[in-house]
Amino acid sequence: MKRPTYKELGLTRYEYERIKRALGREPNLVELGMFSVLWSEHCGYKHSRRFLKLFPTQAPWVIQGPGENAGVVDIGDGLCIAMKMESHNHPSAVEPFQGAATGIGGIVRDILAMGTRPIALLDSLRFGSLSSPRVKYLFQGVVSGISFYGNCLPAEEKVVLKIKGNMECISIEELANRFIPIKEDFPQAAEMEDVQILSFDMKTRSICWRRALKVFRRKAPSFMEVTTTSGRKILATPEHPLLAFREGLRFVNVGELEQGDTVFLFQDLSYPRPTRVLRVRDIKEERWVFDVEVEDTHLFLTQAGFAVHNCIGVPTVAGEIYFEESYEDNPLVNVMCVGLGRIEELQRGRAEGVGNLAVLVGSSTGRDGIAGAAFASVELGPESETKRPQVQIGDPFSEKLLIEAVLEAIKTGAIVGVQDMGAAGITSSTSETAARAGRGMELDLDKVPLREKGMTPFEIMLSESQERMLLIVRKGEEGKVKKVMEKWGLNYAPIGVVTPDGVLRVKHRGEVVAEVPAKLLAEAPRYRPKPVKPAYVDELTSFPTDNLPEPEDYQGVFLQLLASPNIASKEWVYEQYDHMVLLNTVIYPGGDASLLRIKGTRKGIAVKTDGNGRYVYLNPYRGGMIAVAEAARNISATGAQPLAITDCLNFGSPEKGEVIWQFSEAVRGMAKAASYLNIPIISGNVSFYNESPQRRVFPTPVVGMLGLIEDIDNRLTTGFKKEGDLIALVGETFPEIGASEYLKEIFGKVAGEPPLVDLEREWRANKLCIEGARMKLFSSAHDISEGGLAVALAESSILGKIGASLRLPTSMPPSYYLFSESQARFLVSLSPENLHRLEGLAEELGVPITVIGEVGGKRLYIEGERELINLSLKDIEKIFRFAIQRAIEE
Amino acid sequence: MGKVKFAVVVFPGTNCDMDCYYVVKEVLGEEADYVWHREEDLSPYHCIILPGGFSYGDYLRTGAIAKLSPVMEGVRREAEKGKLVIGICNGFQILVEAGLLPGALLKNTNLRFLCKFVHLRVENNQTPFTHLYKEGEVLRMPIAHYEGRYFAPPPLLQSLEKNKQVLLRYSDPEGKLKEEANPNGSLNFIAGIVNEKGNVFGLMPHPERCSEEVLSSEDGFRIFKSMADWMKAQL
Repeated sequence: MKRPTYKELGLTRYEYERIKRALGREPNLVELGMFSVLWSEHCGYKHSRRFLKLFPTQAPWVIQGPGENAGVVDIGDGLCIAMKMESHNHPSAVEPFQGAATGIGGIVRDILAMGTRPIALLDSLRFGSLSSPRVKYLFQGVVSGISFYGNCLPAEEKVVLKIKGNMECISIEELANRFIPIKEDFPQAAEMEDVQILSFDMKTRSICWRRALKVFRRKAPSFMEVTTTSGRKILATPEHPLLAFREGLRFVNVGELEQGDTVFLFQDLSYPRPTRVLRVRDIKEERWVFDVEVEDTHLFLTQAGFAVHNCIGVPTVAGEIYFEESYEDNPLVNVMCVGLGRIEELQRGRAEGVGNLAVLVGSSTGRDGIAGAAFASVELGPESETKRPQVQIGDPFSEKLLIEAVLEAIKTGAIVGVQDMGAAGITSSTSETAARAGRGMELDLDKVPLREKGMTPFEIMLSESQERMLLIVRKGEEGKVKKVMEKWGLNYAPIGVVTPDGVLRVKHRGEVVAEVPAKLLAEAPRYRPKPVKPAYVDELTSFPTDNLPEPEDYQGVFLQLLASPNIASKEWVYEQYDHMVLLNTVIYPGGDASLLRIKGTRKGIAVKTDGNGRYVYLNPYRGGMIAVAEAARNISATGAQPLAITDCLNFGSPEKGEVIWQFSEAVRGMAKAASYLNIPIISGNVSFYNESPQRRVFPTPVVGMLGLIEDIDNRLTTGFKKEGDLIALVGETFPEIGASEYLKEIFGKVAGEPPLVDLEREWRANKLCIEGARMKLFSSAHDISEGGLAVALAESSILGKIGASLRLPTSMPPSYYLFSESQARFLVSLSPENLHRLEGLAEELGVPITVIGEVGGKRLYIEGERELINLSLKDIEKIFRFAIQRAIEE
Repeated sequence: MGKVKFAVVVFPGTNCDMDCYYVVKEVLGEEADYVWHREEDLSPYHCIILPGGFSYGDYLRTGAIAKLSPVMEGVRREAEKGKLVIGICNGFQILVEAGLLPGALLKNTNLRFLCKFVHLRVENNQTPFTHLYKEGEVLRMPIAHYEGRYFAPPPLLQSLEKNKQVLLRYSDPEGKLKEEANPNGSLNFIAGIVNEKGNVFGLMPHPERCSEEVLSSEDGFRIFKSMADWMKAQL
């Protein structure tokens, strides 16, 4: 292999010189590779670090701030919560739903690395417009499931593979075509390298990955034709198995089928339908068939239908989705994970204790994703299509085993440090743990379990094979950890030893192949491109929004808003995720934040993600503040006190002044709001380069927030509860239509100034909500956000299955009052006898409250000077709940 | 009288094991042990739970590999002795694949994973699993599955109905069998069946997810309670 230059590895001349100076010599190839990944934007935060310093990170309840695998807060009773958010934008550009659902491996391992058990996932998704067919496809994450296993398969049969570490599900014909590009009439075979296929081992009776050695293609001379009573005909080789019902589901060879058998036929994208066999006959006709030779076993499995849910046993409890054209080429998939643990069992990613062992556990290492961190640090362009990884399905099954195994290993007490092996694999995990502890490490690459022969030290050090972790194990106690890994069928490989000298020394076949101070790797250079305010900002924000015409038909406008994918119920999505497993979810998705109980206590935690890219696009500073403020309101609306933030900052290329301006302004806004509201930012992630030559995503900082409620009996939910309850508006409505969903949906404009933020008002409104919950004043509470008061009202009615009537107490034009997105507001309901106490509390806190209506009936009724809206709840519900499904099926 | 001992069987990929364990120990107040799939001896237990999840990743047909596990030999042996076996969700699929329950479970008609609350009507309360319910009572329980559409060929279906082996059916909140109340397309709205002997029960809904008021329904609790009470009466 020709030695790549520093440039080809993505380093600049300045960086190269800096390395040379620090080492006092020329770095060798392995060392250069190590620097290239750790000094990439993804790992090194080269453009973002100086801004991120603005974030408040401290509070008395923060146990661990930024700089570890995840942030951790104390929630009392000796318990703690770890949290972290991460993006999967680039790998998910092809298949966002798979990315969202199963590409969660890394974030789950970050939580696991803290010694906490992952208890909740949240997805924050941004797609292009749902009217675009491609977006529809991506959003839907179509997965057709056909389950067979056997020998000679027809062209369309799908198999599950790991090709160079990337999990793929492709037809067997496509596999053959990749390795045997030229099709001949005679039987052909080709050897394959670094291909693993999902197989079944008859001896251990378990599923396993096996090397797929060869792929075959031949013409079969004869077939059977099966005709069913439903009129369908299938052609298959006589030994081809078909799913049939014979005292249960069985695979029966086509050659053995008899008239009257019930078989199940899969039609395209349809479910398998039972049908009877009418006739079976021989056919002399040639067709292409395929086979794969698998190491040790010949029993491999074909795809059984990866659904869009996860199977690692962690519920997906909340999240949000926005649709906006700017995300068309570059959808955003951010995933947040929350873990629960005991403070005394907390782990850190530190290689403490000279002589202790660095142990790699989990999957074997292959050539996959080499320099993937560097890949995430470039824009997607035409040529990057080919660079894009294949649809990564991840391997949630192995991940689940890894979770249980690592948690069990921690309980042995033999572990002093844990680190996720994510971006930049062995290089980053070993250098980071060593650097944090001020230690060094000596690695022996001959001990790393490899999937392929002939891997070079460069490749081993940079591989990003998934489902691996690094454990620092106390010397002499390694037997305990080894036993646990064996029980779960995972690799246990002591690959290194902690040394006192602060140097990461890498050996391969007895020779030292790299020798670098661990600290140096962890300290990437910083860059400061000049922020440039983009021209579009003034142009768009100057759009006048204070004199828009009133709609003639308020009902029509109202229903159109409710059907907007950004506002409509996301039921279609969250129904496809398991949001209940682990028995903690007390407030299910669909309201403001989700609430999880902490078993064995009265406590609960509220979790939510938020981030309106449109606001940030038009005014990044204000948009950044709103991202924090709105997430906080979502938490408070459950009665919980906001405690901490994790974030994921999704922006375009940081090499461009305009992006740096957006970034610096948004971060400044977030920092300001987080400081004022006293919600520290304890972990996070930056995702740059979210742009294509055609489009750049709206600058989208996503805030993941955690809140704590001392007694879950005081929790609040969104839905109205009781006939006769009063409906009150907490906070004040201003005529703020700029950047609103109303302006976009009805006038087709993304323009104007986003609503003003007054952090003192936010603080007080939140306090009122939390105090009111504690005093049990409210029957329901709901944050008012996109779509304004009218939408909040509809949501509370639909979720509570009870109507409401409203009288607008204002001289403001009704459309402004109903659809304004003014901040610091809640919609609450309460029984009339609590009004007096609420008024007292509101006065004490200086928060305006206005009684605007009453709960009851089966209709939604709003009047101003005349009747504006009068609709049956049933009709509203239908539109709100099924709008997304309809948009997809259209 | 001592406590009833439940075995909670754990396959690689099972993920509702902790939930079932929690309900038996903390809510029901009986004894529970996790039993790893490599164990074969289940004789110390009165009741066996096969919890939900994705045994062995379900890369093949759901449940098709779990049925080959050593622990399933033990389950079969104890079932023959008349002990109570309940399979929830993936556990139901495993029981069907293993031939301990008749029929088959196919992909939902809408080809989507579905996690939501549904309503169920109790069809037969003369069993160890349902004797604390009223016949015709409507329950609210969550489902969470991709392959839950119950299928059986017509003769089998007839005999299931004749023997009153269908214990739970999907219904609307009033207990009416309406098409839109059938979440996955199951034949005859079947949500749960029992074997002929009446001691092996499989159901797609998750009773462990609705055994406490705080989780918004307690309707599942009486299944576990029925099992424990029935076992106590035998002891």
